[in-house]
Amino acid sequence: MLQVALVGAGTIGHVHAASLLHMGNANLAAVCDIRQETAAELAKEHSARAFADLQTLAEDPLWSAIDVVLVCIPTYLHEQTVTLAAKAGKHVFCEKPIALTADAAMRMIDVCADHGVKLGVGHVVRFFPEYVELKRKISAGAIGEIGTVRTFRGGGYPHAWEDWYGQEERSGGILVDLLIHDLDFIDALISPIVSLYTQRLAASVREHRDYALVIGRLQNGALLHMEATWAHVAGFRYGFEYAGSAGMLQFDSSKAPPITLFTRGQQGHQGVTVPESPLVKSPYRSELEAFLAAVETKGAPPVTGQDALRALRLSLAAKESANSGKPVEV
Amino acid sequence: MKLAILGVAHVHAKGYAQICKQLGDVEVARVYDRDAEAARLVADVCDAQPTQDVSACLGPEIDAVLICSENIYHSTLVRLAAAAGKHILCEKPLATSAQEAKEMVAVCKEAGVQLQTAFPCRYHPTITRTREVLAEGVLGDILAVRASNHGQMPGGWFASQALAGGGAIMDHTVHVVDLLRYLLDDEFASVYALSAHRFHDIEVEDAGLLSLHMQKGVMVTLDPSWSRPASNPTWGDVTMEFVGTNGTLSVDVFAQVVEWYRTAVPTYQWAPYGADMDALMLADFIERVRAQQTVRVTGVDGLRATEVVMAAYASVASGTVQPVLQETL
Repeated sequence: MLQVALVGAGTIGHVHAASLLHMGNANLAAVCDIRQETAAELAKEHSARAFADLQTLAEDPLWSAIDVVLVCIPTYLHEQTVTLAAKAGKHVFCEKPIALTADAAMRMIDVCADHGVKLGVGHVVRFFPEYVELKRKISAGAIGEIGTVRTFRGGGYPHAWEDWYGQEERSGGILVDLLIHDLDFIDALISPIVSLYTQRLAASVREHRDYALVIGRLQNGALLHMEATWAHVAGFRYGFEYAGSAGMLQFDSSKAPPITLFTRGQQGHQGVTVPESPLVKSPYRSELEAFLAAVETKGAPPVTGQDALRALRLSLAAKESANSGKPVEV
Repeated sequence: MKLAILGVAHVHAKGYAQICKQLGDVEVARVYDRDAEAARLVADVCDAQPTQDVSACLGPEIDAVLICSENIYHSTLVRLAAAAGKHILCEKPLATSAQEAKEMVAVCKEAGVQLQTAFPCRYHPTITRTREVLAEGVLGDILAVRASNHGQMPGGWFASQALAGGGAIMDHTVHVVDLLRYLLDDEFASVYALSAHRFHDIEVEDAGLLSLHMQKGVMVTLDPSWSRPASNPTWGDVTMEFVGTNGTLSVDVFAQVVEWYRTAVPTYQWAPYGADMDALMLADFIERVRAQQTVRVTGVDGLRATEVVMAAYASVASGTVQPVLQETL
């Protein structure tokens, strides 16, 4: 049984904790969050122990029993936590994006390699079943040669702890935090991205509003159009369109949910609409299972530090284009 | 009022003929095309005389002409019609070069005839409403627009460099460019464009992407690709999503459809019930010509859209961001 420590009990931390409940080979033993109540609450649900941060856990006798650390804290804090875990010989699963700079990502890759621990990164889109089906169809030649790829992702502004998404030096902004999902999937599983041109509303200028339109070219010759938004009023949507010489594949998450619950509001309050897409296994659980399997079998993680570095470099290239106003060759 | 149709190569020619027949108090008297059979097919729709002689369409009884030829003949036909004193509705793109479009505008001005560019989308009630919403200011400042004018590959002369002057970028850039100029009261400043041959074995580009910047700072992307497969439920789309400081506005001009499933065909189609924008455009053109008013969508509008197309091709050729150069009039 792998003993797991979770660092960061925010939205994605809760998702991973829930996945662990269903796994027979792993146990959530510790929850670290500087928000003590948050940590205690989640720890209680899992009969785990709560800590303020990884350093505090590292000074506790429980530390020696921990096999894996899940790093689910804001991006700018990834490196110090990953480094601490790796140096103690713990395998690391780190949320995306791996880091804010390629240098930091390389140091993280190196420290994990030097200490013989696995480093996996949470590019979970690769595990979303609609993307798995997309990849399967493309590989089977279902649309012939790809001509154009269009992706969109985003919605309302993500309000989180200390508004860290709103600070370029903490989140990297929309190109590093959000667009990276689509950059990673396309580059790794469809065709390498060879050029990018970005127009973006700078987050610093437009408070709580970040938006980018990116066009580019893939190695296979296809044209690429990507939209990433934290400028919409609310909600979250993602989708894709792959048009090819023999057909087209489209997906829009807002049209996909098979279940939608509408509840009437009380006494003049607005009602609530909750769409859901139930699955046998959530993509987050599949992702974590695949990483833990790699730890157990000593195989390669499904998404490695190098994979995450490549995706980060693409985000940084998109950013470079936005800043320079010129297309960038990758 | 008597009209002549000059050139029937464009898919709209037959539709215009049908609309004119229904409009009443207007008559299409002559239909010209180099191809006698093509001219006859359209002439039959509106009980007109087909001819292979343009001058037969420019007699004193004709008040105005509808030019629906292949793109590269627009210029010649506009000059002939203007010289004969005929008011002109010319298919889009107005011309295959900015210089040509500028000269067409000048020739018509000198001849004292009206030149309208056929941008029917401006007449669509969805666009009228869009302009109202934008003018109300509820979106705050407009920051960005993501737009598409996808289509199926139209084939024929549209896929000929010599006759069309380009491919998907030439065909499907001008509608949205004109709409955004109209909706935002702004001009385009620069463009970075990509082009590719991906879907069909043709000599012109069938895929393209434009990333544009407007003079007031709005960022725009436009996808003009002929990327819709044969089984697409309709020919294509015109969509725009406006991102403003206070909200967003999604516009899908051809969304008013009934989904139509048939036993005999293993797919489904869209049966549109939205406004007939071609009919609205023709009725307005005819009314303004009759009332001796300035047409609503002018040759200058056609020129400005053509300039964006030219800048896009310049960007494709150079691989760099290109300014949209505006001809002075």
